[in-house]
This record gives sequence, C-alpha cells and structure tokens, in this order.
Amino acid sequence: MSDLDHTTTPTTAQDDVDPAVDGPPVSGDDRPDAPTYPVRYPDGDVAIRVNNLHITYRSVVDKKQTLRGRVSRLGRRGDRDNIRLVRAVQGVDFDVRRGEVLGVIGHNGAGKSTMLRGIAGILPPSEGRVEVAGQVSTLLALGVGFNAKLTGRENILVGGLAAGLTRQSILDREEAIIDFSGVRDFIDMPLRTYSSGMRGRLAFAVSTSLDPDILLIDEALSAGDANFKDKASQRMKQLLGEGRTIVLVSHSMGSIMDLSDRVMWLAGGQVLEVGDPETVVAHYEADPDGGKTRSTGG
Amino acid sequence: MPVSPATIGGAGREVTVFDAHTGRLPPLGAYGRDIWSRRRFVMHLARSNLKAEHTDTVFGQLWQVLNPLLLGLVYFFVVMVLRGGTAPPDYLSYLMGGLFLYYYFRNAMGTGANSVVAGGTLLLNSAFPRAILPLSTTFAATYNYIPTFVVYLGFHFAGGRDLQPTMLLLPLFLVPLSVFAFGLSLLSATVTVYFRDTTSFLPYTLRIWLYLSPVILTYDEVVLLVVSFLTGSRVHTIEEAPAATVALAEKVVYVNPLVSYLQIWHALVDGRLPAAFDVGMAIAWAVAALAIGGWFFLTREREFAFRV
Repeated sequence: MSDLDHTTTPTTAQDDVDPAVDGPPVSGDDRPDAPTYPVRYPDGDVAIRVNNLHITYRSVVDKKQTLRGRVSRLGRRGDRDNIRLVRAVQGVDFDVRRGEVLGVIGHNGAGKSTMLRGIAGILPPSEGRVEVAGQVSTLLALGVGFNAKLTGRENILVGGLAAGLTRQSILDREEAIIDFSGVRDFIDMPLRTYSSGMRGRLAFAVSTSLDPDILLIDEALSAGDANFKDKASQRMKQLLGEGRTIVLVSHSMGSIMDLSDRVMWLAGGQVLEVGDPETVVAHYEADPDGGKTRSTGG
Repeated sequence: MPVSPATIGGAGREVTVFDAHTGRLPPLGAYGRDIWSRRRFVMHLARSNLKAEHTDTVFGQLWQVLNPLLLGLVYFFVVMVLRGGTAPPDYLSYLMGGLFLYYYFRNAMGTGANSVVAGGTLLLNSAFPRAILPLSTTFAATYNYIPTFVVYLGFHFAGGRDLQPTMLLLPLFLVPLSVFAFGLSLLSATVTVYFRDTTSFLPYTLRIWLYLSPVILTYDEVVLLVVSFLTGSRVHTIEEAPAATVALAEKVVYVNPLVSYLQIWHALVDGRLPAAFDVGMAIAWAVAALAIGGWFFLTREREFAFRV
C-alpha cells in the first residue's frame, strides 16, 4: 500500500520536486507585456473559468509499471532516477466568455494539450480548479477514442455515447456525419483499415456534430487534405456563428488568426501572454525559441 | 462532480467543477447517476467487446461455450484416468456446471483486469466515470455465461436428471454472482493499472483457485483436504476425523468465495433450496468485493488517464 502511495500521481505542487523540472510559481501579471492577464468576466457570461490550474504528474522513465521494476526499486525510496515530476501546467488563470473562441499557441511541450484535458475533466488538477458551464465535447489529437476493431459506423455510436448522447440522437446525425467525413465507402469496415487522415476526418465530423456548448479542439484542423481543411474550417465558422464556446489549440497560425477572438500563449506550462490574435501571434513568431527562455517554468 | 459551489454560468446553467485531486471517494450518488445516464454506453461497450473478441475465428462467439466445454472434457478424462476408470455418479454434469461458473469468474476478472488499460484513447479523450469500463466487461462476461446454462442442460439430462422447479431461481442467483464478479473486476482493473504484470500472473492464480474449489473435486473432497491440512495427516474419510475438526473445516472452505456460489448452483440444479448460510455468504462476498474493489477503483480513477 505505502509503495502504491509512494508513486501516486498527481501530487500537490507543494510536494518535493525535482529542481530540474520545477521552477517557482509565477503570477503572470507582473510582466510588462501582459497587461490583461488574468482577464475576468462577469460570472454569468463565463463558459470556462480556470483558477490557478496546476497539473503535475510523476512520469516513470520506463512507462510500463512492472512488478520486477517495483521489486528492484524496493527499499530505495530516495532513488528518483526513474521517476520524474512533470509540471505540465503551472498556475494558469483565465476565463473564456460564452461564444468566444480562445486560440492557444505555444511550442511542443508547452502544456497546451494537458491544459485542454484538464478543462475537459480528463486529467485532474493537482491544484486549483476548473469550472465549465454546459456540455463539453473534445476533439483531441488522438481521435474521439475509437476502437480499431469496430467499424466506422459503430465507432460513431461509441464516440457519441461516450459523450453522453442518446442512441437516437446519434442515429439522427449519423448520415450527416458520414457525409461530412467523406468516408462513406469505408463506413462499414473496421477502423484499422482506415488511413490516419480518414480517422481524423471521422473524428472531426463526430465531435463537431455533438451539439456541444463548449468544444475543445487540439490540432484537429491538421487532419485530412486541403479540401477537407477547407470544409473543416467552414464547419468551425458555422459553429462560431451558433455561439459555441471554443478553445482551439493549433500550430497553424493561419487557423488561429482566422478563427480566434483572443489568443493565449503558453510556455513551460504558464501563460506568457493573452490578447488580440495579431499582437500575440506576432510576438510569438518574433520570439526565437517560442518563449522557452521567457517562461520561468520551462 | 461538483465538490464546491460553482461561481460561473448564471441561473439555470449546469456547471461542472473539477477540483484538485484529493484521493477521496467521489460523491457516490452523483457518480451512480452519471453511470445511469450513460447506461446505453455501458451496454454498447459490452456488446462491442463481445463482437471484437472473436471476430477472426471460424466459430466466433461459440468459443465462449466451446472453451469450458473442451476443458471440461479434458478434466473429465484426467479424473477418469486418475481414478482408474471410475467417476462419482453424475460427475460430468457436476463438473460442467462448476466449470461454467468458474469460467464466468475467469472471464469477468480477466477482461475486467484489462478494461482500463485497454481503454487507452477513450480514457485520454473523454471524461466519463471510469467504472463504466469494468462494468461493461462484467456485463459482457454475464452475457457469455447465460448461454452455457443451455449447454449445461444437455449434460443434466444425459445424467438422467430432470428439470427442477428450483432452476427458476437461477436468474436470481445471477445477482450476487455478477455483483461479486464486478467487485473483483474493479479490483483487478485497478491493480493492473499500477502493475501491468497482473494480467500475466492472473491466469495462474485463477488456475490454482480452480483446483482449490469444489469444481473438479467434490465438496466433500475439498472439506477432506482442509481436514487433512488441519490435522497434519492424510485423512481418507470424514468419519476418521474428529467432529470438531470437520465442523471447523466446513467453515474454513468458505474462505474461498466460489464455494458459496457453487453450493447454491448445485442446490438449485439438484432441486433443493440453497442453505441460508450459503446464501448469506454469497451476499456477504458480493458486498465485500464491491466495497473493497469500488473503494480501490474510485479513489484512484482520476489518475488513470496519467497511467495508461
């Protein structure tokens, strides 16, 4: 039992921390070029409120937890060689207004995807809290959570049911989803026969059809060919027109500038800048290392 | 799972709050309602597990019945050989009934152990009560178990026995049985997240469990085994042993949860009502498994996404 607890994740931020990975917590508002951080809106208008969010987990260098590994580590509690504390998100604060599109940018490993999973309730905060008003749909880098052995049609059903929809409302949307994804010829074949582009298109079609109040999108616009990108971009604009709240993570500055109302720049798990898309993207692109040296956490 | 009041959203809006992970139990009422609202998802996962399981084989899902059937025939011949060509009366139907029941546990625990780890992308991409995963594998195992009743009947009739009115109680018997299996699945799923080796150890553990249960051995033989163990010498018949030791042994065998379930099964197919003690033990084991497995699982499920 005590051994289980020993490597339990996540930990609180006050836990003993590997100094190589850790840095002192920083509140963003003491930076001269981040005047609007954190922005708070009237409570009734807020769709997502993130308060001092920290997500920390212990990562074992050898990811598979085996008894042999455990036995060989027994009695070496001080030995931290193969356990690293990863502070993926370090004290992030922001509000997203209902109907707003927040673009999130940052270099790889800046904590964007982890933060998105924190908002979705998939990863628990180690400190702080997240509030979301309404139905959330996630479109994350790995797809909706598809089972490769099942057919595309069955996966539409699984994805929808996992999101909490009723069977009937999924069946009502099924044809539209299949049409939009453009994989009709393959829809009754197992998903393992699909190309990654086809999977991405199906995932995009499913998650944008779930009628969510809040849509969390991670790099999904990169799925598919140019033609599908156009279609996806159209769909996004349509969703915006319907007043959905969207948090969009992307490395494509074109999509970010095109779709976002505000942009947040993450580096080292902290917010470097929040503001209007042109300004933040310009600062980000002018920065030689994506903000790594400016953040204290990375 | 709202733990502290929401600050946003305004009137009439449903707000979900994710507070810092404390390792405490989530509010059970809300958790249960969340599972109930996704019951379609549970049933669908169960069905798709079944479907994906044997899609590549000629006999497909028939293997769920064929496996214990073939294993039963193997054990039957082994026992016949070891006993010099004889077996107790009705032994084949006794063996099959027990083996089908054992296979149910084996299935439930085996697939349950893998349920969370195999959840992979589903776990990383959707937020839902994680207990849905072992719950759906338990349902799938139960689906698989029910057709074996029919196969069992073949052996029952072949042994010259009749249908019994008490067999109508078998669906009721499934209730504590499946709750117990679900509790074990919660436990094995949690342990597997932390020690992936569990799935390799599990078949051997389950095999030993089979040999210690009154499946291949009769109930009397298991009691005799315990009596021999308690007295420290080989005892050949119950009559040889002191009555107090036998009485103790008859209690000790219930440390094995399968004993109470097997006793109820055999009573019902033999046309007897099960002993109150057996029913009490079966329910006690079901409640204990659910409480322990549930506590282990629910206090840790929020960090599963970090570990798969």
